[in-house]
Amino acid sequence: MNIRDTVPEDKRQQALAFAEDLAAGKTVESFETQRVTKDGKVLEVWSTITLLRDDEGKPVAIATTERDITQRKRAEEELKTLNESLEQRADELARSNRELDDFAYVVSHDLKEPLRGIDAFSTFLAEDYADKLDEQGRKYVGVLRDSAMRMNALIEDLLVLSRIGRTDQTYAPVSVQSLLEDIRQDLAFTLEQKKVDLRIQSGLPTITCQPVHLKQVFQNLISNAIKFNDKPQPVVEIACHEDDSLYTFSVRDNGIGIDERYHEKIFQIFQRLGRREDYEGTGAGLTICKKIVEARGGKIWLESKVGQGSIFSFTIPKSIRPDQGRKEKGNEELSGPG
Amino acid sequence: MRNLAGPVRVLLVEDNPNDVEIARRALAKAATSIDLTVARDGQEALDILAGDGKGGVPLPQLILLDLNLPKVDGREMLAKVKTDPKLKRIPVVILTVSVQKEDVARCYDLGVNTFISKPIQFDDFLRAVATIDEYWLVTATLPPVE
Repeated sequence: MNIRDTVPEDKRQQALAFAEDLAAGKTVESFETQRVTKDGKVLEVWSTITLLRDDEGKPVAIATTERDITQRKRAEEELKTLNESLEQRADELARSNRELDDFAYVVSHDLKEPLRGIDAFSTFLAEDYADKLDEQGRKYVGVLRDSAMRMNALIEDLLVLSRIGRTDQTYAPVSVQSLLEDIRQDLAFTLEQKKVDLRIQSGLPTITCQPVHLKQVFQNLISNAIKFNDKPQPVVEIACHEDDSLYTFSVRDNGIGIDERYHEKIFQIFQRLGRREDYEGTGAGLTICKKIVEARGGKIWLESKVGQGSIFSFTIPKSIRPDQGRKEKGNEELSGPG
Repeated sequence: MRNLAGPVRVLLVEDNPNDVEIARRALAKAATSIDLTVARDGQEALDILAGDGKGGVPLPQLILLDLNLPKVDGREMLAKVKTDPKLKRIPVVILTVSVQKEDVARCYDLGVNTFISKPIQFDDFLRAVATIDEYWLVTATLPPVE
């Protein structure tokens, strides 16, 4: 068999050059190349060539060992393509998420604009035409203003949600203990009024996170635990369990509990289980919690049965992924909604 | 004290007629007597300001400025006011929906005196205007009128 039969045309120069190198006494490292089979198929091969000498040390022949690595090469290439397309898809997803957050942000601002008009002019109506409006008319004006303010609250929540994905506050070590004591201070009035027994486990860890976001998560969970509670003395217990890689925080209450059917649904935006007249709020609180926890690489879930209270738990990994803490430029809000 | 010297001249630069009405009512409820002139865009405001000295109206003592305006927008108008030797002493209060950091920073860089985000609720808006009145028209000493 001639070299021409097995070496593809574009590799012949290479093969001859290596042969000459060998003949000149140089060492040739193993290399990747291509060979052609009898039926014309191109194979990827791992080739090792050595010079054979006779007893006197005179070169007599070139021995080549060639291993077919076509399958491996093909698998490698497929894997590479797959990785590239995965990376590309992850980029696209991140970009479209960002776009969605940007969209929510811009739209929220534009949506709020007309609300100012609705609120102001219904106030003017009530002020200037008070004597022309009967009780029913004044009630309608009140409904107008309430509706405008409710819409404002919904938009504010949308803004909070979009901001979690858009901006980055700096990560900082936070003592969960003192953060919870802050919340106890903030809620002092409600705690006393509703006779809430708020039990906070001692020795809680210091974790690296975005302080405002973590506070928001605890605040929302604790507020819910108090709000959806029909006991004469609501009890809210906060505990932490530590693993090698993560912390699991839990907020347990003795409240009304949640039917298992709704355990997924309550994390969707603006989903409310209670009637609006019974429980105030927009229904965005848990969605905000979920987005914050997931942005930090954690998970949030609940265990609950109707009438038996609820336990909301979430995890915070001890390490921070490199993609967390990305910086977004511009359009950052100065302050959160009140 | 200033009330004795007659109403304070305030120039409101605002393109949205509803917001003009809202501001007018809120200012009417303020403690200080105010002589309000309204410009509907930045160019109109600059024309009013340039009219002084040509037998036009005297310069305002306070400017309330929206940022997003047709023709000459609020940022551009602010830059012109704060670089004009005749105008730069007039206190400018930005009253806008924008809460973007870059807008706030840019306005202070340009020499704005106060930046206020328009509240959504009229009651809150009233309080904001009352604060502007209390601070700029009662507490602070305005630059002398030449």
